[in-house]
Amino acid sequence: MTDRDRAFAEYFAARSGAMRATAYLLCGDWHRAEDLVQSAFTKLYVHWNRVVRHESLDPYVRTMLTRAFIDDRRRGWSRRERPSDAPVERPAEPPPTDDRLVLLRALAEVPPRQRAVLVLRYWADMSVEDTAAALNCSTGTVKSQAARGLATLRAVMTAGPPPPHVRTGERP
Amino acid sequence: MNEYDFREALRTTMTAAPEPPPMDPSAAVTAGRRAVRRRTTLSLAGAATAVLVIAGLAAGPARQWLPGDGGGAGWDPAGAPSAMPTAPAAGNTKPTWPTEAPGRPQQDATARSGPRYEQGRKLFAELLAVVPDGYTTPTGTARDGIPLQDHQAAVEDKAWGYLASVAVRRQGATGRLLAEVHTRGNGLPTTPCKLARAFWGMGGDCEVVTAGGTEVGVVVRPGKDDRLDQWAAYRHPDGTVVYVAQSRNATNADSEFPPLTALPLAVPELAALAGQPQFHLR
Repeated sequence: MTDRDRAFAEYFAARSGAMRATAYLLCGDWHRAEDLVQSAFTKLYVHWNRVVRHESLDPYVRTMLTRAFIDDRRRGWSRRERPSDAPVERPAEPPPTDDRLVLLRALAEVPPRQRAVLVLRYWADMSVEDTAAALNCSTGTVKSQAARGLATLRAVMTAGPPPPHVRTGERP
Repeated sequence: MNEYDFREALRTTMTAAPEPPPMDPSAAVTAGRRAVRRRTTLSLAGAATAVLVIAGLAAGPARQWLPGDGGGAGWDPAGAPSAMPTAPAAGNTKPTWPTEAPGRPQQDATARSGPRYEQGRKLFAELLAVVPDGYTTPTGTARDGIPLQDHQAAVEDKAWGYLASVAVRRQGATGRLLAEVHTRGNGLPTTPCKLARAFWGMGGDCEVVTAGGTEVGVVVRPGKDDRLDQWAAYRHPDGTVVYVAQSRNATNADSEFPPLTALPLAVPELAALAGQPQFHLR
């Protein structure tokens, strides 16, 4: 194992869980969240030397993760690579509580870019400027997308989910 | 639901969500290696195709080797350009890097000997040569483990990057000068200020300064990311990009040295350095 492999593996062990939680909020599915995390960390591995020297690792990975999520929405997500063929093991998921279900369903109704803004700003606690850099847009766009996203959430959580044929966002 | 409510709801939701087991770091490393191998193979295939097309045009209708052709006899990896990582043997997941002197492959993207290493060393020597009068150049390592003098040559995508940094000291205070060169094909922005603001992704307030008849982008005040205080960026007509930077601090981390009260170079001097021919490395 090279120095890069060791350093990368340590960082992955420390931070992949947090990144997967962010990805889960973006896409609403653990399998897909792991695909997004793998995609982001693979990019990090390829550019490891440059990123370690010049950038903070967490913002870089979050940016790659979010862009992979948005790109997936454009292309369909079946192309994603898995590092192994083994299925993701997970505990039997208890039935979600009402509140949790309501929030995740409502989040799924928010269009992907607005959802990305909401998750980066209010889950990952990224600043408006950092969120704008991650999404390659202006700070004004981040502010307006956040406001629209919260408005969509309010509307969905007040009214309940609309029938599938009128949904504005994409289901995860 | 306002911002506060949403933030709280996210935390409550994720606390209650049962997570799958941790992901496997070794699988992530394997996937990363595979990506590097695929990337280098594609890069070489493109280069080989270009070379063979040119050779074919020159030599007439000879059979050309293409990826997946199965007729790979005559393709000699040792003959590939040394600037890029070379394709590994089939079944080997470890990427093979450019060859250093004396014929050893690099361990990673950094060249530790050979002509690229020498270019990094040359950049370091040129940077030392432009340290203003009145400053000393201390050696050794700061408390945070960062060397006070350093240089590196690393392959980055389709180009090479050379980095040199020198701590500069005056009246007990220590700052830093830094130069970074990206060779042709670096993919960096073309306009002066976009180029300057792209340096390490730092942004900042940029001015276009004319130095020696050419326009140089200079970030005169950093933005939120203030790892450096000022930097100049110049793109040569052949695409080579030169950054020259200065900082009041000796390192980015926890250095024990008091910072400089003033930067070593005025903005026009910094801009002029970025366009100097001695930093135009290939």
